[in-house]
Amino acid sequence: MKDEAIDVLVIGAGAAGASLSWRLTEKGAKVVCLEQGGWIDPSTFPSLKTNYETHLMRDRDFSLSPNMRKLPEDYPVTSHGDNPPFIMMFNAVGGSTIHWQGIFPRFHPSDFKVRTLDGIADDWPISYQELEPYYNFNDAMIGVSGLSGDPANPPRPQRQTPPLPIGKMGRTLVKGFEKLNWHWWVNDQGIISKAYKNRSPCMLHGKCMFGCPMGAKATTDRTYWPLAIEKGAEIRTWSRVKEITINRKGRATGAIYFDKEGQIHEIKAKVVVICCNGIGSPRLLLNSKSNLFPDGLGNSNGLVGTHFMVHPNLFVNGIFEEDMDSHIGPMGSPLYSHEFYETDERRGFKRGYMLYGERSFGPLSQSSDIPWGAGHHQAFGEQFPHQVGLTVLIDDIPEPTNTVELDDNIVDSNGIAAAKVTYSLSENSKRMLEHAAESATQLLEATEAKKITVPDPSNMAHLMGTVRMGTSEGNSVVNKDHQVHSVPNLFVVDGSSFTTGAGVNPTSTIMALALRAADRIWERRLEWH
Amino acid sequence: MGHQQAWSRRRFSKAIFYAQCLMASGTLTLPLACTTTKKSNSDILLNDAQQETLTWAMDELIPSNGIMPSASEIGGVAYILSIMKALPDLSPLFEGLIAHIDEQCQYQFSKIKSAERIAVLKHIEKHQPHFFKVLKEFTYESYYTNETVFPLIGYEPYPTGSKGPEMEPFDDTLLDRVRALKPTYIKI
Repeated sequence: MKDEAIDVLVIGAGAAGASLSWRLTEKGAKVVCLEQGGWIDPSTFPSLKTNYETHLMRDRDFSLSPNMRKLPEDYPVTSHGDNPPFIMMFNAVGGSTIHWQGIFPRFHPSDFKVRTLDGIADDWPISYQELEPYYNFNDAMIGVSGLSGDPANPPRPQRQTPPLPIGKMGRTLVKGFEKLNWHWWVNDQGIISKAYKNRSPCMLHGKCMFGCPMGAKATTDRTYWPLAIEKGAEIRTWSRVKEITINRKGRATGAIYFDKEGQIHEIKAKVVVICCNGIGSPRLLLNSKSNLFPDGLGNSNGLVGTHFMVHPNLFVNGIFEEDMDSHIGPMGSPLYSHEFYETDERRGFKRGYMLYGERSFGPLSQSSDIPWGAGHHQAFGEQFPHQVGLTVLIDDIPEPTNTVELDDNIVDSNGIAAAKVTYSLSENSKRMLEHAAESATQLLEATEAKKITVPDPSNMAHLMGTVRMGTSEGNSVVNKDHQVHSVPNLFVVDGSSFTTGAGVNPTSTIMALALRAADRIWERRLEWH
Repeated sequence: MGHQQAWSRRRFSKAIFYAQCLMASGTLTLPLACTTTKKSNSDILLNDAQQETLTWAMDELIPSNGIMPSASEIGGVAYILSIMKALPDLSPLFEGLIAHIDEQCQYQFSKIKSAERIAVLKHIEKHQPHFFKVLKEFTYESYYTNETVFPLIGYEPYPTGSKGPEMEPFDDTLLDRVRALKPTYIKI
């Protein structure tokens, strides 16, 4: 496609960039997507190898963290604050869906009205009802396994494929939930249990995070991108954007990017959409400085990069006498509980959290805490295969002091300033984590686990809130249609758009937002010129 | 990972198509990575004395016990050598580790008693934790990625491309109690 013909320039080919590009292309827009990584050859996935676990641990390999992979397409992210997060993301066509576990819950209606209901943070400028058709549409596009009818969530259409097996570890957790009379339900997963839209069903190998060459997991290189390309969208891989360009009137005109050989190019478009995740998107805005925007594009109010959220969590472990099957079956999650999801003031904190069963990696990962020496085999035999994981994911209330900034001391392979994140748990989050640790322990006790371990809090690979959506320039960077307040033809659509983080995994919401944003952008096509 | 090579959309689609057909028909058996079984000329990476020290150190971490072999009995040292060959940046760490062990025991590590070897390793664990971490992590890695060990610990790896495990379909009746609950989400 010739550059002068481009209607919409999309930056980033992950969950948001793929779904938005397809939607706009399908409507008739000429779309070009710049992606700093490439297509991943599925025959190289670690999941195809018996030593697959080692590939998450090596530098320059399939690690979850760009700081460990250190590939040319990655960029460094330094981590600071009282609780510096472990940064996880993937830079390729498909983005972090390549590594993703496929857990696919939706926000609750209350998640969009946190200020109104709980007096904290901010309400979203959109409601669950506005997003609901896009959740449904996206599910139908990619295929979701699960079961409708959960009383803890608004009704949703029948899932495209039946629930995946929950296995012995799932049934063990069910016993605990039933004994305590707590809510539980089988998880919606972006992993199909039956063939769907020319994709093969899950064969339960259990290595989803190490790459799914079968295509059962709804990575966007296998779902949206083939459709978008068929309709005429173009992806330019190995193309790293240095900055968004603007004209004297303050309108975005395109971008300057490096190709794989380090050659610099300028690309023009009528509309620019940034879909680079909760760290990459503010980094790009902050790196796009000009006379009109000396502090970074869209950052006249100083809000770009603030309110960073990561979903603090706990990986609670139970050890049982019996053999469990936690290391086989879809790695995501067989079931979850929203028993503690909505605010209950008696608990001493606002908002709530999700508990969910989580499958484990293989024996190597489970050996790491086993002592060496004469007792090694006995200690390992008590743990493997007897472990059941229960993960806590808490609502991350946005704090203006948790931030993504530029780290001018470190640059990526093209000399562009790296990202610096600063994160500290709020008092509300600390209280919520304490409560959640007690709940998880109570549940595992009810399942008759003989040993329970509650580790220190960590965080999920959920990067949110840094180009937040809001009602005005006083409280946000983008409006309810993802349009940057001060740059009318510039949009930011990904986890960074979240006003609050909710207590569930974000991918289905990111994709629903992207489809909705595409419609809003298309509706304004007369304003593109 | 070789994904930095040029991998076009066309090649990607073609690979997906054929892989899915072959996997679905069960005719594709993907080669399993097992670096420990490969013969190489990597022995020169560590001399005989260094390998002897490494053997005894690995076996103190994971000794034999009943049906369970020790780390070296299933090719632990050969695994380390293959790692050193594949990741040359790690070689100084292994060489430094062995030097620390030999220096600490002030005699041949292989000739002293087991209790003394354990004392040496505990000293290094306490005072040179970064070197000990290398020894422990790669000893465990050599052991728990070895296919000989898998049946002994009750692990079936099910690498993708092989036949997956049998699992019972989800039983919807398990949800009968929860399904009967009134909506618990806040309606807005």
